[in-house]
Amino acid sequence: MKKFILKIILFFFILIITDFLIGKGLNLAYHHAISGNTARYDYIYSKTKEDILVLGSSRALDNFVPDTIEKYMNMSCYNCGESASGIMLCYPRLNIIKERYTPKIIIYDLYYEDLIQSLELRSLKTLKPYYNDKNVSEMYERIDPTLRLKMLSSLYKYNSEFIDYIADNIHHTNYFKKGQYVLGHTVSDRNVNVQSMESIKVDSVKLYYFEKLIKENKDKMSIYFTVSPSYKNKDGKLFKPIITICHKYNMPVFNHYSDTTFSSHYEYFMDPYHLNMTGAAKFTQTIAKEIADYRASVASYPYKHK
Amino acid sequence: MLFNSFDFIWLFPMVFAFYYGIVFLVRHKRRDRKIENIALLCLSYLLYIKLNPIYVFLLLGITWITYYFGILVEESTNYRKRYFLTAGICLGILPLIIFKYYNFLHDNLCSLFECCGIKIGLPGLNWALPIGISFFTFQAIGYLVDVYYQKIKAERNLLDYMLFVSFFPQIASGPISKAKDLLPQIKKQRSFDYPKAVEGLKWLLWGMFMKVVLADRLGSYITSFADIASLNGGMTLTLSILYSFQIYGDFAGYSFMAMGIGKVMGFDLINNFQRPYFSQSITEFWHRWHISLSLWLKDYIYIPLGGSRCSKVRSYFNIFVTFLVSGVWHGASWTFIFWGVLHGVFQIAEKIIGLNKIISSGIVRLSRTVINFFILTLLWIFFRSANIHDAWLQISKIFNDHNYSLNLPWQSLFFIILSLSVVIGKDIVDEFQLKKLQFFSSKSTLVRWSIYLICMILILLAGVFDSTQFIYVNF
Repeated sequence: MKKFILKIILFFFILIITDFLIGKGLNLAYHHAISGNTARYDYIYSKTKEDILVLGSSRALDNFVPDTIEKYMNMSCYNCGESASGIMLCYPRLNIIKERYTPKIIIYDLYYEDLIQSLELRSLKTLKPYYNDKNVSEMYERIDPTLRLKMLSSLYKYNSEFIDYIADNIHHTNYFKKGQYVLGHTVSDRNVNVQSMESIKVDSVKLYYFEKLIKENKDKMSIYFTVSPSYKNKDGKLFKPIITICHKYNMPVFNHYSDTTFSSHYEYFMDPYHLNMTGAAKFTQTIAKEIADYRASVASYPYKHK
Repeated sequence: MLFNSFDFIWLFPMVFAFYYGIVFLVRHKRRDRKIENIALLCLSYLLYIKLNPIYVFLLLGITWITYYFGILVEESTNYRKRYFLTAGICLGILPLIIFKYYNFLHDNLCSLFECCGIKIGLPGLNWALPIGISFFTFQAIGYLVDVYYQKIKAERNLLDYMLFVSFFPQIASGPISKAKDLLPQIKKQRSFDYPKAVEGLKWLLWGMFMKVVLADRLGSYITSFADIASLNGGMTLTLSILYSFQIYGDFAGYSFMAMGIGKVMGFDLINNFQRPYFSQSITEFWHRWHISLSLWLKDYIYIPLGGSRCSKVRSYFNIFVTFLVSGVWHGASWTFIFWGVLHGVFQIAEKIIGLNKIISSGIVRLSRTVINFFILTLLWIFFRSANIHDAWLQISKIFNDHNYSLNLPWQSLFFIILSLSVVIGKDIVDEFQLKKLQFFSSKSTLVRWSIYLICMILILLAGVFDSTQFIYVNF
């Protein structure tokens, strides 16, 4: 029995050392990636210094063209949108960024991920390398208290993602331009199936963090909330809980969810929820102009918008 | 405790320490292993309470019923023996029928009566299925039948019998142990067995790999394709093949972990899986897949019906009924029943042709293995489909939709190839006894420990850790 226990202890000791060494190697790979998602995440968390940041889900990632925003707003812009993510990623992401600098403007594209009950651990994957940051750990330990122990393992920290880190160090990809995903295409079926979201359940934790994001940042930067277009979808009223919070703090919301300029035109969409390159260019032009005009009117009449 | 959960990491060492602490403390009272068994029994019940607090009474109920009826059967003569056996089986199996089959029977009866214009208003049941009920019920029923046929003596020690039914490594998803195999181990004196414990840890490690790296990883890809109807023939076939490996990794993984934990605790549980996808026929498949259930069905359904010691037609009927029962055992749904029946039909066909007796080698063996795997994959479609219509849709798509383009991200392909190649590679090595490549049992400590380390690293780097349920825990 003694021999058995000693061998187990020895094995775990070797495992811990191996875990540490491989973890260091993967960490190095993460911070030296040359392209792909890995390089993008590293840029967002450690290097971005743009004046305007776009936050939100994959709709933000696809629908907002940084070059167009830069042209209308005369400020640098980077798209920090993330697939299958909402406030549970955007809140800690912004906090990590703010540790280095405070952006002047946040354009936050709202979507259901900001309010519906859903499995949020999947959005953790981009934050795993930054788990030691208390902005991250505090938030995710609310979802899974055992994460604190699991994250002691470096290998677990890079679970599933390690292959991307290695690949993004080897080959160059052109999926992103200033953070925006640029491989969109045109939807091929104008009768594409649109899913109704009428039966969604609102997550109070997400609403809490959404309000927290506003409260902590509204005096430090300008935040503009948008709802980018959707194809044929008429479930816009489901955004009401988060729009109510925005209005509570006098935050402007530029809602184009059912804007017929876009929502009736399948040629602007690559699927019911994401614009293609043509649609994104047109929408970004529209929204950038709107925000620029809004900013100009606020500057001229500061009391009108209180 | 679920073996792939985070709780297992701290619970199992505690269970191990507690049990062997007791073994150490009573080592001078070695004639009386009562205390060790009480410790194991308490652990088993506590762990079951952790899973299913209220259903522990169900476990107790089935245990006591089969225990007392076992004694009654042994002490009775003539017609009373059969009477007590029947009563014991009916009472023992009643909770299983209620929890697992009530809603199915209710829905189908309602539909049947509605076809005749009669509306019946029985309420449905909305109770969760007690974990492991199919397994421990069958284990207890098997004991009762063995007593009836005088294969074993009725157990007179209630505590030993309770441990037999509730033994924690196997209660959730098997294997289904026979009393003649497990009870003697419970009754004998046990001490820490180093080689057995090491072998146990190897099985635990390998089982964990199969579960979290193979099964859960494949499961996450398969479930990401929610709308199967929109997939082309190639993707449908690919997902079906992946499901074949998912269910293998899931069930075999759990079984190996259960076996491993059993060995660490000093017990030898039946190895439930012997590389089933190397089988050359459906008949052979059932000698390699869920072996404990196959043995149970053979001993308590097939043989009492007459087995093969009767006319050919009658033996075919016996096979049919046996696999009908297998389908019913797997789930309260027409898809499971149909799946079981099809397995029976294929075995009957093999018996008629004589295929079940032919053992091929070389290229013929390879061909038969591939064809058999393909048939099994098609049959699994019924197993996992929501209804028979969906299953047929998928099968017809495989044969009629000749669009074989795959839509899998390269990262998914990487993990699929990684996990499949490791598992298939090890199975090939074990099947063909390639001793030099059997790294888990290499004579070199460096090689063995390197393999253990690589497995652990792959588990941590490529495993899926949201404690997804074992598929068979739903049975």
